Amino acid sequence: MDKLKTILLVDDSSKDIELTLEALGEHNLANLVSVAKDGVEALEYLNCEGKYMQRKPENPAVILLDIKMPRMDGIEVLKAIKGNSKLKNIPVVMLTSSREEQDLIKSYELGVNAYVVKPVNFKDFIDAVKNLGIFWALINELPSA
Amino acid sequence: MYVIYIVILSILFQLSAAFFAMRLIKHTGKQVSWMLIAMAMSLLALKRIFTLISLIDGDIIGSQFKTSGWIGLASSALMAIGVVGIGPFLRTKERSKTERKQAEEALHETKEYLDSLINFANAPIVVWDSDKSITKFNHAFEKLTGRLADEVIGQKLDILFPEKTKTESLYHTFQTIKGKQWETVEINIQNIDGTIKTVLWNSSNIYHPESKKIISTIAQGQDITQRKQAETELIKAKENAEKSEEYLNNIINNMGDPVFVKDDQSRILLTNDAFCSLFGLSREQLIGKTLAEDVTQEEQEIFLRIDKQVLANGKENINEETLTIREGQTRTISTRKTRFIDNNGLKFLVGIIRDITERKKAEEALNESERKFRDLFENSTVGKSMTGLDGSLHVNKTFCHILGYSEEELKTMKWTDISYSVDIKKTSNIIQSLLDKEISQARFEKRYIHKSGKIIWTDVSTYVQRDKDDQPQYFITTISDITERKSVEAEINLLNKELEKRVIERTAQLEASNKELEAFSYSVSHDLRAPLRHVNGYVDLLTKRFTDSLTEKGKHYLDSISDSVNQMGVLIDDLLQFSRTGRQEIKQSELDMNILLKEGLRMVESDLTGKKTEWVIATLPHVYGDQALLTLVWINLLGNAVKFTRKHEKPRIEIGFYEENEEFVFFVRDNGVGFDMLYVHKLFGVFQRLHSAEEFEGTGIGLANVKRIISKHGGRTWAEGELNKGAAFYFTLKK
Repeated sequence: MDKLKTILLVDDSSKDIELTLEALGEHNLANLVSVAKDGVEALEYLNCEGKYMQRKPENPAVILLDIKMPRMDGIEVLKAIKGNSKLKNIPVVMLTSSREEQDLIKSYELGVNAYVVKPVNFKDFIDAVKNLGIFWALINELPSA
Repeated sequence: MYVIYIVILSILFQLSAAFFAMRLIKHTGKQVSWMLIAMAMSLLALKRIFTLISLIDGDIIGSQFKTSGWIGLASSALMAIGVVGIGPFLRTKERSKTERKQAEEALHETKEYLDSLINFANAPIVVWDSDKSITKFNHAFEKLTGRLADEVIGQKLDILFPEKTKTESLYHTFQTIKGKQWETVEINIQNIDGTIKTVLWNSSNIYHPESKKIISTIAQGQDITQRKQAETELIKAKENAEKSEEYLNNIINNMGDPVFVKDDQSRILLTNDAFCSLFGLSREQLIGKTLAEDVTQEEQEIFLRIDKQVLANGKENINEETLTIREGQTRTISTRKTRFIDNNGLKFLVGIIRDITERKKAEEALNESERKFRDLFENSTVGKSMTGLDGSLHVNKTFCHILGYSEEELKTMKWTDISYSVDIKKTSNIIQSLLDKEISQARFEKRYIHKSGKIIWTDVSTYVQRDKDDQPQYFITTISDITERKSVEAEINLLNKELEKRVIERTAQLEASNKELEAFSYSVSHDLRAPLRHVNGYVDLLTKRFTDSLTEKGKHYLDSISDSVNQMGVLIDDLLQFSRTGRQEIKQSELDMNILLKEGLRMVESDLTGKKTEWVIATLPHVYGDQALLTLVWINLLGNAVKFTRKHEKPRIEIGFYEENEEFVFFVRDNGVGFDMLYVHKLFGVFQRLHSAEEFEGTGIGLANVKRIISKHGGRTWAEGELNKGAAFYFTLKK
């Protein structure tokens, strides 16, 4: 299982984190998940800065990115990732409550790889997250770093 | 007594003897002898006279003389007879002796006489001999030819004639010689001054008494040069006269105007072609007539009256009159009549007619158009002015009315006097442009000053009237008072500005509230959904993980929580959708409604829970609109139809359209639960529902959304329904 890469989950809501992890856990993907509580922390993680200084410098298989977050929101994080040559190949999936057209447009303009609205219904949510994890963490191939 | 008679008789015999003795002197030439005899006779007669006196006085008695008386008488008688008897004897004796002498004398006398006669005759006379040499040439001939008799006599006759007619003249002359006598011919005679005289020439031959040969020929002429000239001149004059008559006729005939000459009875004597063609009659039909037949009685009276007047007073008359010609056609003519009196004192009327019908018509047309123009000008309900190049004004009543001045007042004013000072320069520029032909007419607004000092706004149109030489004459200007309009306009402008300001404010407010709404919906979208999701997630986890620990009641509670949360999720989504529709710009394009409908049907398919719904679908037209939004309309309407027919045993849904005016009216009709028309006004309101959620699920936003979308397309929506019978929903779109 060494080959399995991590999933970076960026969300400010602990409830969402818990429920997302529950969903991923149902498919044994929970242990691969690293969590960042907002955009700033997400970028520290990716750049191995701050409290992640000691982290093995390895890009995650996918980033699940919420939009509405304190300090730095998901759109800004996306912009930073896609503007960074080291990070830009990491698939980014917006996983958000917002169905706002503007968010969608903006995200795709910035080069997002997928946009998923969190279903209110939990079963649907579990299905969605499961599919995401399997696809991006296990099926999708990336160019070697 | 008889003695007395005897004495008297004796005396008479003695006196007659004396008388005849005297007479004999003449015949014998013996004067003295015969005078002595005559004296003796006379003395004897004297003695007898004394005797007679004595006898009468009675001194002697007759008887005494009886014998001597008788003897005296006898001797006296014898004496007388003797003397008388001598006379004839002497005469015959004398005759033979003097006759020759007398004949000679006579001949001489005759010759002289003839010579004189010839010489002094007024007629030119020439005599030539058988050699054709001239033998006599009289003074008249000298005068005629300018030659003297001396130089001519002895010359040949030829010299008298001019070269040109010589042969001819000689021929005529010698014809006479050959025996043609007393032929009178015209002969040309050459004068040495070069002129040629014409002579009427008689000639006759003189023959020898015995040999009967021609000894000479005498020709007598009559100088007819002057007569001839006069004749030639007369002929010429006559020719000229004829020519000039023809000429005159030509002139008259070629005159475009009809000309006529009438006698003092108004009878036509002469006309020209133009006159004939005016009446359409020939000269023959007109000459001698008083007037043409077609002329009316009234016209005739006028013509004749003027004829009479002109003939009487000789004053030229020019009269404009109407003339009726064929078929009742009337012409207007101007007739000039003058009187002419010839050498014989005869009066004639000479007339020249000018057909002025066309001119008259043109004049009338001009008058008419002038009148119309004046009417138009004077009675126009807009102000009109004719403004001179010097700025002077000629205006109509309305113009006066607009500016409060009288016509007379304005006549003394110039346009600059009544114009608002600020507008004068602008107006002057326009006038210059018109004069320079940069523009053909101008329409502009300008201000005048009313007599009261008030400013009058006017709408002005003006153009330049030019003469035939293209020189500007005056400006024709039309003004209408727009003061009121102007003030209304100003008010409108003010209102518009205010409105604009308000709109801007309103728009800003709207924009602000729109932004707020956006922010709000964003929050709703994100923040409101998140807790719901969490509730749902934890309820689910609780159900899943702790199902054994839960009682049935506990499980029911958790189901209820889950239902409510799901319902709230749908509500939030619909609300967001509705909010977005309101803010969304519509993107128009041509759309095939059939495709949109199909998409709608596809979306509601999942709701058709195995029921056999009867679909009646018409072929729909193409429309202009926003694809996504109109598809949403179909989804909503079809969804409703499906939903509300769910409980029907034989659901039937009909989709169709019809055309009304400029619109397509689409409808979706079903035989579902329908609704009470009492509440129809609530149908399209947000969150308005006519059924409970338990009966039919829904948020009450679908139809509100439909209405909003159709309104944005400029259409209308309405519904018809009856409880438990069905409902029909309509919307319109512009064609």
